[in-house]
Amino acid sequence: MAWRNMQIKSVFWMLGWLCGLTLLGGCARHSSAGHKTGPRVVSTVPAATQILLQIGAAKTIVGVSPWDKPLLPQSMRNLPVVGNYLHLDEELVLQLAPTALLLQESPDRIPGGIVAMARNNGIHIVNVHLTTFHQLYRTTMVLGKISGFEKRAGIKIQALKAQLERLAAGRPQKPPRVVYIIAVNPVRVVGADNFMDEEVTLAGGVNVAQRCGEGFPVITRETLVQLDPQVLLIAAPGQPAVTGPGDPRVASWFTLPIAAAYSRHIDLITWRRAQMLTLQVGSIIKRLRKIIEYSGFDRSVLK
Amino acid sequence: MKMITTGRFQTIMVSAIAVTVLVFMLCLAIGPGAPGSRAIAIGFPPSDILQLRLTRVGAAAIAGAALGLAGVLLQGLLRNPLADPFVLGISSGSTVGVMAWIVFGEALSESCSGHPWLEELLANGQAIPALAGAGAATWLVFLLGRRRGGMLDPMTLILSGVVISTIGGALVMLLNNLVPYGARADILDYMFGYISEGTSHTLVWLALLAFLAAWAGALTLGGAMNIASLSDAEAHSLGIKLSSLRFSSFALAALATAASITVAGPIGFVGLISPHVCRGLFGPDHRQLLITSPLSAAIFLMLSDTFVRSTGAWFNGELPVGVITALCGGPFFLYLLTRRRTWM
Repeated sequence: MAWRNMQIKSVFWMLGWLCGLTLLGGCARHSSAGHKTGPRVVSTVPAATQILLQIGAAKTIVGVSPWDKPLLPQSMRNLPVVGNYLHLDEELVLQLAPTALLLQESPDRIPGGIVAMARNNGIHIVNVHLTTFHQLYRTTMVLGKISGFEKRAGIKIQALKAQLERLAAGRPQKPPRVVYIIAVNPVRVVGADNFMDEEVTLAGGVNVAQRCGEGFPVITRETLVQLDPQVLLIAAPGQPAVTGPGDPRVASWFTLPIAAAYSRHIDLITWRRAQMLTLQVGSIIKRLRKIIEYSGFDRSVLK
Repeated sequence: MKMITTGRFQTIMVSAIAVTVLVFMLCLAIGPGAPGSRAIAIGFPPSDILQLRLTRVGAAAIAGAALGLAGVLLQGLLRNPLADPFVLGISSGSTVGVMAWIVFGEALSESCSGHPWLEELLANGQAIPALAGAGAATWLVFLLGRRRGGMLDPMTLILSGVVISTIGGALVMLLNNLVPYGARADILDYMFGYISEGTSHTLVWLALLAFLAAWAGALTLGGAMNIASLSDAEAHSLGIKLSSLRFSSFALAALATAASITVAGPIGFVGLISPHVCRGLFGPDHRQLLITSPLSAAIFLMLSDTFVRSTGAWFNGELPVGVITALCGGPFFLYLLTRRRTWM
């Protein structure tokens, strides 16, 4: 009997704790939502969040996705997380009272509930597409408009266009054949018609994997051997830099019969933002150019 | 049950091995055309490319054979025609392992620096975490599936497998939310199975050894499995120790599945359909099935993988092999089902 009473008590204790935690969570949530005037943006697209930061609209951001967190400046890491494009916390979004909600989804796949919520609460849904440089310019202008930094966005775009023109003018006469791998198992490469393809071209290489398909096609190592790149770039965002041909992350690529292996021109691209199209694309291309032009393990050129 | 003669048994065995070797050679000779072309190249390539194909076709053969073997063992053990290596939550366990690797792998790699053999193992990417996840799921199902007295109960095993699968699915979703930005494509590709030319030769040899050990063990169980397909009481009265037979079947199926996951990830349908196809073609004798099912599954997976390897240009990039095994295997299985005979 005593045992049974103890069990009942512990169940009540647990329920009490759960209720308390829920109330605390609710209070914390509520307090995070101050009602201010002016543009208020909830972004679920890390690249778009970065663009907002780059045009100086940091103060307009009121909610982000979990993927944004590691990319945000320290002072903004306590921003509420509203979920991602798959699961949006609509209740939290409403509490944040945004004027704009940034999503990245094909138009017919935006859930009807989100569209209705936005319509009923005067939230402007901005469906961001960032796959080409042209889309970057357009998106930046849209983000400038919704955040009240339109003029600044225009200036930034002009500066970027000028930087890219300079980079294009400095392309080598005989650009090397480049393959840029973004995932290794299976081997997924940068194909045709996307911003990373444009980056490789402007960085002074020829993306030979263009022939394998649009976007980011999966290829076999056999196809990689046939492409015979002179430079092989492998994305490894956030990882430490490559230490040499014996580094286990690149060692297997050096066994392939390709020009890049013979000339030791295989390198890891470890910058976190390397696969993200933002207004910093110019500096990414500059770093890529240094890697493409010089030997993969001569790290001094990157300093 | 119609018993086979030694002559017929030998004919079937020799023919099956011959066809498997022929298909192996054929798959080595087929590959993608020049990059950008939609053509399929037929003919033996230069030695460096042949080396790559050899690893991949070999891995496909081992993975397929292992799945075919595990399928026969589990369908016999569970007395369930729908049993396959992944009904016991093994696939789900391997996916959890890979997800955990994607989320925590970087930190783990850093903590293992200074131990060269451990570093090399971890550099093989998803294979080791997949194996660890599959092993953990198998062990859990085994613990849950035991009745008092230590005997494995087929019904409890299936139910435990379903529950472990569900929990694994939930863990995958939980870890999915922690996956770093940009790593999402990896897991989607993994979940459909993928055979890579880049698989380390050490892993391929390990998988081959594991499969051969499981196969050798399984071949000694054929006669007992035939009798165990009767009721428990009949099997007991004919002198079969069901508890040890079930334990052996389970352990060998787990070993074979581990061999497959090591080199190919979770590939569905192969382990389910190959025993049925072989039952339809050669009869229900487990002594035959334990030879023909692994070989037919190896043939099926080698051909499926050769198709995806050679047709990347048709689909804007290489398809996961699991897509083809399901698209070809599913309708074929349904066709067999409509012509259902006594073998079901």
